[in-house]
This record gives sequence, structure tokens and C-alpha cells, in this order.
Amino acid sequence: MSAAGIIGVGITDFGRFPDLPEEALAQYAIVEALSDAGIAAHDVQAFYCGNAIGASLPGQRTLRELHTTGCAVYNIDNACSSGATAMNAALTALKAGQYETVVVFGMDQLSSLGGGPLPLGRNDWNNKRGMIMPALYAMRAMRYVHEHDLSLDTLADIAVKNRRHGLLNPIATFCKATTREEVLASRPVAEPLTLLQCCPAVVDGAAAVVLSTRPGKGVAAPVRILASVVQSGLFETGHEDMTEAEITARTARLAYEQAGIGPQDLSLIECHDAFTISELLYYEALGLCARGEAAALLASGSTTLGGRIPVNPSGGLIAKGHPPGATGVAQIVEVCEHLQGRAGRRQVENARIGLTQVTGGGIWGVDHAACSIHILSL
Amino acid sequence: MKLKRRAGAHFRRTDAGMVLIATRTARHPQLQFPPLEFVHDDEPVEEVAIGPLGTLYTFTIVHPGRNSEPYALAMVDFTPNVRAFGRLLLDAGHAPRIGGTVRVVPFDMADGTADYAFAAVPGIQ
Repeated sequence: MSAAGIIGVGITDFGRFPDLPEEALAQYAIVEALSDAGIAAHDVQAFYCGNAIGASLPGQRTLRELHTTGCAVYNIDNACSSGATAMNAALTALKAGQYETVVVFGMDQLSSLGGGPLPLGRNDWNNKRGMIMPALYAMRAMRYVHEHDLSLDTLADIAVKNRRHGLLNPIATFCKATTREEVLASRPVAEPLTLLQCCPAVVDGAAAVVLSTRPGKGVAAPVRILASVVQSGLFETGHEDMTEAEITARTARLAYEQAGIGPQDLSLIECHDAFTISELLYYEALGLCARGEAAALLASGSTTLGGRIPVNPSGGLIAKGHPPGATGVAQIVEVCEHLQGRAGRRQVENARIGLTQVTGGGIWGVDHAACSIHILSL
Repeated sequence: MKLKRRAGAHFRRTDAGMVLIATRTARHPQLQFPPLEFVHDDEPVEEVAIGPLGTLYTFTIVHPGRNSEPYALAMVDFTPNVRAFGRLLLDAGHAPRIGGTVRVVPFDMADGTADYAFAAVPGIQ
């Protein structure tokens, strides 16, 4: 049995589609992925669905009209890390020899929520007292800016960079060019974060990949998975450093070890830039630079398209939006397209190894509840 | 099955001011706030008062939108090695300051339930 590879990818536009339920979006992504792999739905032995916001049985709701074989459907909710966690679970089953060909997909439809931050559990200690996701990241940003004596320009420059990337991405239908001044002048959401420093709240989308231990029949070269790691947040009640993305650093260490590479070997990264501060913290947690040097790394242009290690060439969550169930799979689709040389105008030159990182949070007592990292190569 | 909800509030009023109640057990000696909510196997739970003064680790001011007033949130560090999250009461004309001293004060939640918040202590840095 050979190791599982990604033999097909599919993705929808990311935008506001209030008339398209999440099932329809996911169906589109799955059909695209199957077509890309050169196989049919009846060739698939199991489906893994990542979904965070929708009602129960999202996978089955999606698949019934695709006339699948009645094979196993696994529904996985790990907040914003749902899709990537589904990928990890699918790879585990393939490695165990349980299946030969599976589909991993993720989707969410946020238009129906009417805007505002992602809904969190109402009974959570922090959430009952007014916590929302932008506020959690804002508190990290406030402390990071304080400790490193940073200008808020640095935060704004992440939004400018990623929206510049997003303009090159045809699926980022919500993306508009912006300037540092416009970012800082947009309305405050949770100080110091302004509206344009937050990923758009009302965006729908889906993505899918076909994984198989058999040779692909598609036109694009199969993509190897060098590492797939999921970790959960540690229970923290003391004076922890909120500017250290501990769970991401821990997951990255395990992923680099599994892949047998280091951050210096990466060609591109898709990371969880739900807010501008996130990307800065993840530069450090992923080992792209030392603690406190993220602003300098950004300013050097290294993480911009054309730089040494482009981060979020897709535009990231800030440019595309963040339907949480879809995000982790969408990141994997993006990296595959770069490795296969079919990323269009945003293509990273000579892309050889790419990393995706996504977190999921929203409960008291943990830095983030979940983190998933995948490292991919041809 | 020996599983019960721990009795007791998460704050207390003392002569020195309002304090929060953290807990720890022999199996998990690190203090935690909010306090342990459920007790397994009748395990003894030690309650430790933290406050009334703490240090502002970080904060934010949330702007919910046109129809709602901004509100502030904070992470506050207490001795010994406990961090608590809660509302931060804004003092008109004075921006919160990381590293500044805050006091635990009474505060009612939106549904009227008695709770706690933090307020800056003027003159103590």
C-alpha cells in the first residue's frame, strides 16, 4: 500500500451567497474535486465533512443528492479547525488501510447569520461576560503592541498585504484593495483592531480534496502529505504569555518533525489570519522568525508574494473570508495549486513545500481549543 | 456516582474589598479561576481568595455597533499566579494602562445576576 496523496481538489467562490445553502456549496466543491481526480462519487469509500456552524448531519445533507453509495460519512466539528481536522482523521484511516479513496470537504454558510462575530457557546464563562473572538485577538494585539512598542501601522500592513494578494485570487470575491490609512480609519471593532483588520464576517464557501492510496487519474500531479498534526489547547489558568501562540508552536514542532524539514525549507504558508495580529503571532510560532521579530519580517517583504516565504498568497482569511468549516480545506487546496503550478497570477515561483495552519477557539481556559497543521509537497 | 456541583459563589465581599474565589485540589494544585464547578468523588476542594487588587495584563474596548454602547474587557493577573477575565469599567477621561493596578468591584451581568468586574485604582501604578 502506498502513502495517501491528494489526487483532486475543488473549491467554490468565497463570497456572499444567501441563496446557496451550505449543502449546495459543498456539492459543487466535491464534484470539482472528483472531476479533478478523474473519478466518480461511487469510487469513494468514505466522506469526511468539516462543519462548524450548520445544523446536524452536514455531510449526509450534502451527499444525498450526489447519489453516493451509502458509505461512511464522518461529521467533524472542531470550530475553525474542522476541515483540517477532518483531513487528519481521513489520513489516519487511509494509513490504517481502512479505505483506499476518500473525500474530505468543509463548508459553512454565514450569510444566514446576518453578520457580526462568529457565534460562540452562550454558557461559556468568558462568553457570558462579553467575550467575542475579535476581543480575544484584540487583547493579544494590545499586549503585543505594548511589549514590542509597535506602531499600529504594522497591524494594518498585514491587512494591506493580504488584500493585495487576494486581488489576484478569483475566488476571493469579497476582496478590495485597501491602504494602511483606510485600514486604520475603518470603524473600531475591538481596540486596537478595526473592521478591515478582521476577516469578513459574512462569507460563504466550501472546499474539497480527494485522498487516495491509489494512483490518480487526473491531469494534475498528486500531492504528498509530509505531515498532518492536530493538537488541542492546554488548560491555562496562570500568568501565561498571550503573545505566544503556544498551540501553534507546539503543533508546528510536531509537524516539522514528522515531515523531516524545518521552516527554512518552506516555499509558502497559508495561515489562520482571522485578524491581523494572528499572522504576526504565527510568523513567530511557525519559526519564520524569533519572538518579537514578526514586524521586521513583515517589513522586509519576505512574506509578500515574490518574497522569500510568501504567507497567505490566497489573500488568507482577511481577503477571502472565513466560513470556518471550509477554511482548513481551502488552505490545502490553495497550497496544492501552487505546488502543481496552477495558481494563476498569484503563483509562488518554484513552490516545492507548503504549510497550512488553522486554529479553532472560543472557550475559556485555553489559548486555542484546536490547531491543525499540514505540510504538503509534490 | 459521586459527582456534584460545588457549592459557593465565585466572589466574596470582605472588609478589604471584593475578592474572587479561586480553587485547587490535591490532584490539580494550580489555582484556577473561575473556580472548579463540579467535584468528583468528594475530592476536597480548597478555596483561595484572590484580590482585591490585581494587575492589568491586557484589555480591549469592544464596539458592538451603532445600537450598543462600547464595553471593555480585561485579563487581570493576581497573586499567586492566577489570571481572571472579566469586564473592565472605564473611567471617563482615563485610558486603561497595561501594568496598572485594578480592583475587583461588584457588577451586574446583563440579566441582573450579581457578578464582578475590574476598575482601575487611581494613583496606584
